[in-house]
Amino acid sequence: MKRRASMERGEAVADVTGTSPHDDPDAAATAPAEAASDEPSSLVALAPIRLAGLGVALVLVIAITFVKLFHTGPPSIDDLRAQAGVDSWQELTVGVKDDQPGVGYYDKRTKIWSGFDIDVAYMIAEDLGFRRAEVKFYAIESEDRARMQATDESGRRVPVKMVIASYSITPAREAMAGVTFSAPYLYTEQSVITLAEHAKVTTLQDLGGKAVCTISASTSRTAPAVAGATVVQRNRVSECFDALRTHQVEAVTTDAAILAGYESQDPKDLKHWDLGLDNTEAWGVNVGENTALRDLVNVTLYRSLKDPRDHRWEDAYLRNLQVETAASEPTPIAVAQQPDVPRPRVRELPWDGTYP
Amino acid sequence: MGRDVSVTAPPEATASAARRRRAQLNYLLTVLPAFPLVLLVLRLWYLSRQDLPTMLLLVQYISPLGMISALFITLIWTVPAVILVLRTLGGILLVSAPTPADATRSLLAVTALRMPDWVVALAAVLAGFTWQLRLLPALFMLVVAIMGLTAVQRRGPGQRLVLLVITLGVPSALGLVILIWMWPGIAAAVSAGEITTALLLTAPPLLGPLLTGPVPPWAARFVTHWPAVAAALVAPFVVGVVFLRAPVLPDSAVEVASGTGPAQVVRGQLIAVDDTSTTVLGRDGVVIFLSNGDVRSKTLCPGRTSPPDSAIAVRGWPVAESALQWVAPTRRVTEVDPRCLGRPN
Repeated sequence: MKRRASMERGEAVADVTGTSPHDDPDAAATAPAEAASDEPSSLVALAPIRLAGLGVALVLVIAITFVKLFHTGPPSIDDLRAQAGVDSWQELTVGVKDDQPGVGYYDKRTKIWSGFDIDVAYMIAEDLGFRRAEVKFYAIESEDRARMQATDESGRRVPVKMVIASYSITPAREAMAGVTFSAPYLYTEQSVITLAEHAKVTTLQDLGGKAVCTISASTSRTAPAVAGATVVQRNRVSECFDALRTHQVEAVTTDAAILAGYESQDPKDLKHWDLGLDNTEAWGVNVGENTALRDLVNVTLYRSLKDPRDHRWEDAYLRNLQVETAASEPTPIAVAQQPDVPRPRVRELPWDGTYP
Repeated sequence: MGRDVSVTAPPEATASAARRRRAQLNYLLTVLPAFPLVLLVLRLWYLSRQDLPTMLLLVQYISPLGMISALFITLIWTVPAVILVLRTLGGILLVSAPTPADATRSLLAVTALRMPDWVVALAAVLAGFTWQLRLLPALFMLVVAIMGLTAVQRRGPGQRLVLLVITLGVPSALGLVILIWMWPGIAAAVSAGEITTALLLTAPPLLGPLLTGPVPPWAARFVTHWPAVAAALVAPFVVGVVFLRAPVLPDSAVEVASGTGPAQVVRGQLIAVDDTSTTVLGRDGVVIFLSNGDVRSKTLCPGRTSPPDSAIAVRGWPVAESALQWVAPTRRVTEVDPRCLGRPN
C-alpha cells in the first residue's frame, strides 16, 4: 500500500512539475517512474533476477574480502621460515649416524662426513639457505634420535635441529613426544648379514635359536624375536659387526641399506642375505616439534621428486647406495626411486610454474 | 532535490532538513583529508610496536614523502574501486527507486547523479592499470553496469532497441569474451583448489548482464544504499589493514664486527645513517645503534611482506599482478643473500 502511494506521489510530482528528464540532470531520476508505460519489457521483467544478481555480487564481495583479510590461506615459504626460526640460526645442526658406511659415516682420519643421509641433509640445508660450512653434523645414538640429543667429538651432548639417521617412520614413533617426521626420503627393507662361510639364510627362521645382533631402539628387533632367534642388542651397528667378527653372534640384522655399506667394504668376509620380509622401512627426517621446519623439509623433498632438473636425490642415491648394490647382489638394498611426497601446503612454491 | 516533498511536507521543514544534510556533508568533507594523515601516524605507531620514544625517533628520520609514496603505491587501486562502486550502486538506486525523491534521499544516489562521466572513465582506466588481473573481470562488470545504468537513466523515447543492446547484448557478449579468455586461468584455479581466484574470474562476467537495470523498487534502497553505508564504515579498517602491512622502511641486513671478533649480522629495517652510527629497527621493534666503524657491509633484503597469494597465471599473466606490474620491468630475486638469512658473508 505504502509503495503504491509513493508511486502515485511520484507520478503526481512529475505531472505537477511538468519537466522533462532531459532538461535537468536532477530530474533525470524521474524517468523510471514517469516512463513506466514506456519501459522495455526486458527492464521490468528482469528486475527480480537483477536483484538476485546484485545480492549474489554483494555476498561474494563480503565473502572474498573476509577470506582475503582474515584467512590468508596456506603459509608462504617466508612465513614457514619465520615460524621455524630458521632465519635466526647461525648454523644448521643435524644428528646423523657416524658408523654406517653409505648412510652416515664419519672418517676420523680425514674428518669427512659421507653417506646418503649426509647428502640428504646437505640438500635440505641448501634449500634452507645454509652453505655446506654452516651445516654441523653430530653423531647420534639410536635411542637419542627421538630426543634429538647428539654428541660431539669430545662426548658433549648437543641438541640438534633435525635428525637424519636411518630413522624409520612408524606410528609408535610418531606418537612419541618430540617426534615429528617429514615425508619419507628412502624406502628400504630389513635384511641380515652373516660371515661369508655361513650357510644360506633365506628367512629369519633359519637363524632360530641363534644369537642375532641388532641395534637397540630400532625397528629390526621384533622380527628375529618372533622367528625364535636370540636377539642381542647393541647401541651401535658397528658394535654388532664387532660381535659378528668375534663370533659372539651368528648374524646382524637391520635395514638393508645400512648392511649394504658393510658388505661393500668387506665382501670377502661378509654375506648379505635377503629375508623376504614384506615390511617396508621408510626413513624420514625427525624435526622434533618444529612443524614449520617439517613443512620446509617436505618442500625440499617434493621439489627433488617433482622437478626434473633437480637431480640431488638421484645423485645422492647413485653416489652412496647404487655403488653398493653389486656387492650385495641379489639382495635388494633399497628402492632406487624417491618415495612419493604429498604436495606441501604452502602458498607458492619457489619454482612454481616449471612443472605440474 | 526536495521538490516533490513540498506536496507532503511544510516548506520550512524541508529547508531545515536540507540544511542539516548539507552541514553533515561539509563536516564529512572536512574530516576526509585527515584520514591519510591518521593512516601515516598509525603506520609509525604500528612500526614502533607502540613504544612512544621509538615512534618519535621514526618521526624524526622517516621522510613524509617516503611514507606518502608507500601509501600511494599501496592504496592507489582503492580510488577507482570507490568511484566505480559508488557509481554502480548509485546508478541502480537512481533507476529503481519508486520516486526521484526516494532516490535522492540517499547521498549515494546524489553522488552518482552528479559524478561527471570523465571521472568514471578516468577511474576505469586507472583501475585497468592498477588492479590485479583477477580483479579485471570485476572491473569489466562494473563498467558494463555503469554503461547500462547510464543508458537506462538518460534514455529517450523510442530507444528500446539501443537500450536492449546496451543493457543485455553488450554485457553478455563481453562476459562471454572474458570467460573464454580467462578459461585457462579458471581451470587452473579450480584444479589448484584456489576457490576465491576461480570465483573472481568466473562470477563477474556472469553477473555483468544482471547489473545493468533497475531492481524491484521495494528492494532498491536495501541493496544499494545500505551496502554502500556498510562499505563506507568498513573501508577505513580494510584500508588500514592493507596499509599497516605495507613496508615503509627498507628491509636490510647489516654485517658488523667489532675489532677482530667474529662478524655478526643485524637484520631489520634501516632507519638512518649519520656520521657516527647506523640506526636499525630490529625485527622485535628494538632500535639498535651500530657504530659506523663496526659496520662491515650492508645489503637490501627482498621484501617478505607481500608474497603473491596465488600461483595461477592466465595466458602467461599471473593473476596476482596488475597490468602495470606485468608490463613494468622487475627484478626477479633468484638468490637470497646469506646476510639476509642472518649469517655473515
